[in-house]
Amino acid sequence: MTDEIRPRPHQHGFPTPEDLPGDTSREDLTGADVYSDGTEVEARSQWLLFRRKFLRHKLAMGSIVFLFIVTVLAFFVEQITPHAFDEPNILMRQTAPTFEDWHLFGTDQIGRDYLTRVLLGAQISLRLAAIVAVLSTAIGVTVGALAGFYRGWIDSLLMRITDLVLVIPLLAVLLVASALFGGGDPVRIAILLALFLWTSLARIVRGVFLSLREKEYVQAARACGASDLRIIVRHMLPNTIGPIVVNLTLVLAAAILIEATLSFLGLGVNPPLPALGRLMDDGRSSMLTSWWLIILPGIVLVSIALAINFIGDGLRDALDPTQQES
Amino acid sequence: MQPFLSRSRRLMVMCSAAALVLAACGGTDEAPELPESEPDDIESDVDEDEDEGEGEEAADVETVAGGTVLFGDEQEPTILNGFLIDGNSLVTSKVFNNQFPGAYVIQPDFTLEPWVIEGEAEITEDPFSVTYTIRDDADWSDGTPISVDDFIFLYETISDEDAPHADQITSRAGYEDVSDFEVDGDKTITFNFNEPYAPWQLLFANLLPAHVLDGEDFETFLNDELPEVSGGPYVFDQWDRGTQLRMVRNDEYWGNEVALEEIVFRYVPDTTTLTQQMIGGELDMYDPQPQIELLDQLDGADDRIDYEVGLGPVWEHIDFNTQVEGLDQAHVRQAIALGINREQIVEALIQPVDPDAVVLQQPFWMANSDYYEETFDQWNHDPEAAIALLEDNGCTRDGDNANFECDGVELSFRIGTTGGNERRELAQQLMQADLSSVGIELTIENDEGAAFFERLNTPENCDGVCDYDIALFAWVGSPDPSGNANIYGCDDGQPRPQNWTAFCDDELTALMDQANQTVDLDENAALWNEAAAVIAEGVPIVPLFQQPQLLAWENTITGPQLNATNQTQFWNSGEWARTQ
Amino acid sequence: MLTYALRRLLISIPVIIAATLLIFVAISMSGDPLADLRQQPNITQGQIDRVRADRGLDQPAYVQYIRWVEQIPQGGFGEYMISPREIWPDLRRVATHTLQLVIGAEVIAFGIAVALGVASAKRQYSVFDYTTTTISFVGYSMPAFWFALILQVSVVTIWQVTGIRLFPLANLSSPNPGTGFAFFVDRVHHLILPMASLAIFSIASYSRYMRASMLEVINSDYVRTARAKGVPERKITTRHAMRNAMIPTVTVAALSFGALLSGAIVIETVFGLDGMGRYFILQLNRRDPYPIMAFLVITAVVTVVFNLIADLVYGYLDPRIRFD
Repeated sequence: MTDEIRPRPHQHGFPTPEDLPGDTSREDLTGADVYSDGTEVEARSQWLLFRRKFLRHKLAMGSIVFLFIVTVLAFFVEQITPHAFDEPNILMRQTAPTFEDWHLFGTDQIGRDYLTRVLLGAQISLRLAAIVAVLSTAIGVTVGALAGFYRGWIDSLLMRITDLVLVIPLLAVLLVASALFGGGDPVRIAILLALFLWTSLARIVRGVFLSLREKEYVQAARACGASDLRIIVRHMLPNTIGPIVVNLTLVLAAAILIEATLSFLGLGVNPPLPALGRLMDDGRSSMLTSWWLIILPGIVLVSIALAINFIGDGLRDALDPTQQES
Repeated sequence: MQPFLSRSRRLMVMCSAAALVLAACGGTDEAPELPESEPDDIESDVDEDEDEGEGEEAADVETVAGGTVLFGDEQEPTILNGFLIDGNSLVTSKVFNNQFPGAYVIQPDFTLEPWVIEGEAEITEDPFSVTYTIRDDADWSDGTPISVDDFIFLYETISDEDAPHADQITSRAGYEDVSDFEVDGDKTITFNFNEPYAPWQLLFANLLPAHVLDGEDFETFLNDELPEVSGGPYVFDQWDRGTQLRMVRNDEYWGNEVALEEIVFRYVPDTTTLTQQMIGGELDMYDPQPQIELLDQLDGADDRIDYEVGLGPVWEHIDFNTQVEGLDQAHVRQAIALGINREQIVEALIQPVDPDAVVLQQPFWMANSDYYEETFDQWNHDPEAAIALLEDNGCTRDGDNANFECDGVELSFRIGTTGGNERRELAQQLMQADLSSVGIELTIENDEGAAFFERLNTPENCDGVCDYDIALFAWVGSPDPSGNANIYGCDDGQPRPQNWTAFCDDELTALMDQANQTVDLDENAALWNEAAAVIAEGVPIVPLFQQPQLLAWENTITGPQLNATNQTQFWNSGEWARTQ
Repeated sequence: MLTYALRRLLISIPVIIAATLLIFVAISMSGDPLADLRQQPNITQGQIDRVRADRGLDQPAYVQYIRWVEQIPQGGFGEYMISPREIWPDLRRVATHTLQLVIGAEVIAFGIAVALGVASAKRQYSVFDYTTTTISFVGYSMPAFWFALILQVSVVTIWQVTGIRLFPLANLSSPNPGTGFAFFVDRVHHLILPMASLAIFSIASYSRYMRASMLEVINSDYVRTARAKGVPERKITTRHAMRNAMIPTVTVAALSFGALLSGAIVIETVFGLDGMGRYFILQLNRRDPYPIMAFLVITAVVTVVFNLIADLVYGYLDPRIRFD
């Protein structure tokens, strides 16, 4: 295999330090400020490059708009729909989507307006996913930073804790938690989910820190007497913004899907709160005659997750300096 | 009797397997005259609802020999030995009852008919004894006649307290009252009892072949497979755990000529998937929990599926924890009973499935029993009476929108049930709305199935007061009410093991205990009705309704008839046949 | 590298033990394993006491835990806590079925993903590329159970309309599957829909990785060099580009194996498959810690092994990360 040269270890989605913004070794900056005819050289900072590339990603842009609309609809559902989410109406049960009485999504098995329930479900899912994303990011960054910065036994310990989390099945914990503490409180579920979804971010951050800590500017800062915390926060963390943001979108999408799955298994939020997964589960038994009960929440769920994923993809593309601009 | 964990989500499904009673808990519920002939002709008190007039009488249609019936079931047996704890479930009975016949068969209307014995068993009341005469033609498939040896073997196996399997036997109730037995030839045996045992007809519900099992380890021999010797219409063939269990025709069956070649149980722990399989033609029969949308789905299956809905022995009720402040006062409990609108609950939640459903007005006899007498009808919905009752007993409230206070205790209680069960949750919400208009507040607090039942226990086991106020759940009834003595009785003021309401009334306990010693059917029934009147005064519980049961089958099968008792849907499996 | 691997494996052991301990404590605290027994009729207190003594349930928790640990060296995982039956035969049976499902899904997903990724990379920005990209995105924005349900409804509807039964709706095998090859074919037929449901997410995600790394490799210097040297295009694709581009995809596939196992739980529920997921839920409901811990040990070992593989491959790629 003599003509085979092993490629550089750069993979889409596995960022290595060289490719991250903020790394001075790759900056395009030159010293010149002014052209010979007097026009200013516009310094193309990393941020502007990123923004330009991101704004060009049509799908990501479209997704942002879509997500915004859905969020507004979901959080202002009470003002928008004429029905309440928990008002049974046995006379109109299981009607298909119709303009009659503004049941645009039809009604469920006991006559509750489905559009309201689906939108409320979207709200709950979004809220839960947001909590999960923020919390897991906080945990992941902390763990990864500490592990990568200090190495040694702290690193070992934290990595073993990571392994422990990976090994315990999420389902077991949730079932046991619901048995011990009762109820399907959305916040509690969100916290539990977050406690399980921080591991990949921790690894990534740790990887970044492991390589960064040997860099000159870090050594320099340390020589100047900067405290550990300052070094971590001011000098090293900014290099992780990219993967953090990308990971955030991944976790958001994952949280939404996992919550739906949990609700489907009966472990999600309690009724009468209509989480999307729960709606799909409830609608399952009428699948063959009332298709909208299961199709519509699914479409809404998929659209939201899709939008988040497109945004994430756009971010990833924008953050990757090796990608050609098209 | 035990609580029925309503099947709402697949999680809960698995629990209920272990919580259903077998023949050991028993008694009689027999009409004075025994109906004589085929099951089809029985005057049924069970509400039947044949689908669009497509029910076919076995006699009218051409049937073919052979054929398979695929029966879908959500639960699978753990072991096949119906007498051991792990096998004490309805799912095991479904298999077991096809191969091991018993003295009596429980009919769909809760009456009992002789099976292996010739005519009724003879009893003497004082001292109590039972004489069985086995049919001359009854024999096992290997030619050995079904004889007194089999009765003796069963009796000894269950009663032997020194055997290795003794710890695993579910219940010795009845058998332990036997003092001795007398044999007269091969086919007649008399058991003498120390004291009267009212539910005696449910003893010997399954006979085992003594000549095959003698000397085998009872703890394991019948766990994973059954012997090739059968006394019933089918014999065990093979069990692929997790997937299916197959039984084939017993060609030597001494009863009628069995038409079907095999019955295959297909295990899929999910009702929706089972329904899909029925509609998609992958299954021939199943008996799921009926929900409104389920019937809609079955109706939409191009007329291929017949089904029967009836009131089953599982009945739903609310229990009061009489040790909780406020609920310890009888007038508070009575006011709650008056305040809730049980008619409306039945109308909204049950009648869409079974139009003949009614409010259940006593806890011991079911509404479709001949002995049923209404005693709780005095508490039919009457909010004004509820308010008057509270006020007459010194309760006060600040204005018409506030909660009542009785003896310094505000009437605000938690109501709990198994979470995830939509019908139960709706019932709770309806009751909550009803009671708020009589000044009593209910807060809904639900748990996952097993967790819910852990709150229910006797005060002794809770170290004081158990952690619930009002509980909504169901008991599995039986043709005989004898098990209720354990649920509502007390010994010297101490509640019995299943008396979770901690309600003690000496008259009630005395009546129930006396009934359990009374063998005469009419006297027995009268005593239980007296007890029902007493309990309706004290109101430790409020019965709501019987859960409807459903059996659905492909319409090329003749013979199936809903039987919601422990005899299971396979009570007449020997008579099933296919028309193509 | 070997010492690293060994060290990781050794360190995993206390991790797994810690996990079993945690789960054991949690389950013991969360409920009474005798709850079902107490609810049966005519059970006397004496009988309950006897079962408790016989099964060691009256001992303190740590004794019960040790009792379970002691059973392990004797082969298998001993008996259930509540009943005198052995755990291993059941666990082995369900684990086999789940592995059939998951490995099948993983292999199919990987194969299709590689093909898709390579094809899209070669036709970057074409209609084909955009289509597959969009489908991929939809694929991993969709909950697996929803997709599974849609598949089921489709099969039933097609049967109702045309009378053709494409795939079985549930179960592992038909009532009379035959033996040998016929049995194998029948099993595969039953697993197609479940595998498809499981694989859709993976196909989407793996093909994205494959496409991205393929793109990078294609545009890299050394491939350009090889092209310049006159190596035929096809050989470039298969020998140089694909093999190198596959490495990160393999990494992702290995890391995702644990997620596939979890996904299998839901799929098994929808399709009524006799697998580990179903078994796990059943035992959790019974509050019986012994089979749950046995289940945990198996999944933990599998997860640890696959994570180790992924880490080794990743470390191989980027030497700076390797040293732990």
